[in-house]
Order: sequence, then C-alpha cells, then structure tokens
Amino acid sequence: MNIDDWRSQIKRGTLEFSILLMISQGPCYGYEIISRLERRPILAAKESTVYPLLRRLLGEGYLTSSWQESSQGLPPRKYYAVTERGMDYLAAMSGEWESLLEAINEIKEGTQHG
Amino acid sequence: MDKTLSDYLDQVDRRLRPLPAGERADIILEIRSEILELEAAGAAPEEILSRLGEARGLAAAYLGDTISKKPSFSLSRLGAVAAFWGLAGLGGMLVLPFTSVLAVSLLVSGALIPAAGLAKFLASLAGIDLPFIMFQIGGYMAPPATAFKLSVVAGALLLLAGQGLWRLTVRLVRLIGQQHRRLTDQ
Repeated sequence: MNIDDWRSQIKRGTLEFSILLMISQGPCYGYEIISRLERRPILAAKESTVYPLLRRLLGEGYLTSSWQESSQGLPPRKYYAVTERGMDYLAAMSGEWESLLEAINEIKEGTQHG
Repeated sequence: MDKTLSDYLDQVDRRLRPLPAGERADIILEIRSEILELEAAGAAPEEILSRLGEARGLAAAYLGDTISKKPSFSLSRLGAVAAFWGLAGLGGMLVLPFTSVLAVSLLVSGALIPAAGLAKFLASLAGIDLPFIMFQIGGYMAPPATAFKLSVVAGALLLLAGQGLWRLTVRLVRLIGQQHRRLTDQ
C-alpha cells in the first residue's frame, strides 16, 4: 500500500487551488502561505514547490504581486493578491471541486447516477 | 545575515543565470526576505538551509517552472527527452544510416561514372570497344564521345546530390548532439 504516493498526487493536484483560495481571502506573502500550508500535513509544500508555483500563477495573470515594507526591522515582503481573472479561475475550480466531492459521496453511499 | 546563508543565496543566484536579470533579482529578494524573517524568528542557519533544500534543487525548481516535488522529473525535461529520442531514435536508427550511406554511394557513383565514361572514350580512340561500359538511356545508346560528355554531367549531378545529403547528415548529427547536451545539462 503506497499511500504516500497517492497523497502526493492529491497534493499536486490541489495545491494551486488551496493557494489561490488562501490568497483570495486577503493578500499573503510567500513564507506566510508556506507556513499556513505546513499546519495541514496533507497540504504541506516546500519553498521549491510553492515559490515557482506562485511565479507561474503570476505569469498566467491569476495573481499580482507588490513589495511592501514590514515593521520591526524585518525585510520587505512580496505580497500576492488574486486578480479578476484569478477569481474567475478560482470560481471554475470551486465548481469542479464541489462536483468531485459530490461524485465521491454518491459512490460512497452507493447512489445510482442518473 | 549569516555567511553560509548569503553563500547559499549566491549559489542559487548563479544557477538562475539562464533567467532574465530582473526576474532573477526578484526571486533572490523573495528568498532573502524569507531567510531574514526566519533568522529574526531565531532559526539557526542549518535549520533554514534544511528548510530551503539544496541550492541546486531550489534553482532547478524555478528553472523547470514545475510544481512537481521531484527535481529529476519535469515537463520541460520530458519535452527535451521526447525531442531527443524523436531525433536520436528515428534519426539515429533510420534516418542517419539512410542519409549517410546514400550520400557516400552517390559520391562514389559520381566519381565512378565519369571515370568509366573516360575509359570507354579512350578505349574507343584506341580502337577497342569495352562492352561492359555502356551509356544507355532507354533505347538510346550513346556513342563513346557523347557517352563521355554525358557521364561527366551525370557524375557531376550525383556528386552534388551526394554532397548535399552528406551536409544534411552532418547537420543531423550536430542537432542530435545539441539535444543531448541540453538534456544532460538539466
């Protein structure tokens, strides 16, 4: 039984969704996103995964970024926010996600489809 | 910032060289920002380094622009592999032997035909007929003098074709070499 393999596949498939969802609730910076993901082992992802993914989402126009000064002598942070295009993408993903959960539940309960 | 950490940043930066300078600087600033934040929170340099992983792996993740956790596999690498095998596989196993052997055959024929034409012509001048050398197009059999001229033209055409094909072969080999290098560099 290789549950780790399956888990990493799920993680890979849902990380983009999780990150966009998180940023859509308010601008976040990279390390903040990583440490919030870390609190949930199923979603935990390394810097080498999250940063390039954020770059890709920026490049595709789903996110914007801006450097902002932080207090207490800490270095500036790069904050990410979801664009309108990103919101559309997120809504489409949410729709797919709901239908996936629904389908899994139907199978679990043995409900006949159609 | 601790020296091992700034060295680490330098290493990542160096490996990001294929990227545009602006993008590279932005990536380094972002990682730097996290390192400084972790340091300020009291994390030891070793702790920070183990978090970020090897400089090579982190840079490769940016370069490969991949969300896969395994740096040994990425879509761009798969594309490069496919491109390489498409060339080396088909090109190496079918196209290359075909073009190279044909090129050599054409070059040899291109040299042999005028030589044969010349032999036939010289023999006919000496009053000897060489029956095993003929220049025949359909039902037309060229007399020795014409046969010699025609054989020179035919030989020149074959030499040109052979040379062109040989150049193509060399280019294919070079192309496969480049693909291979690109692949092993990743």
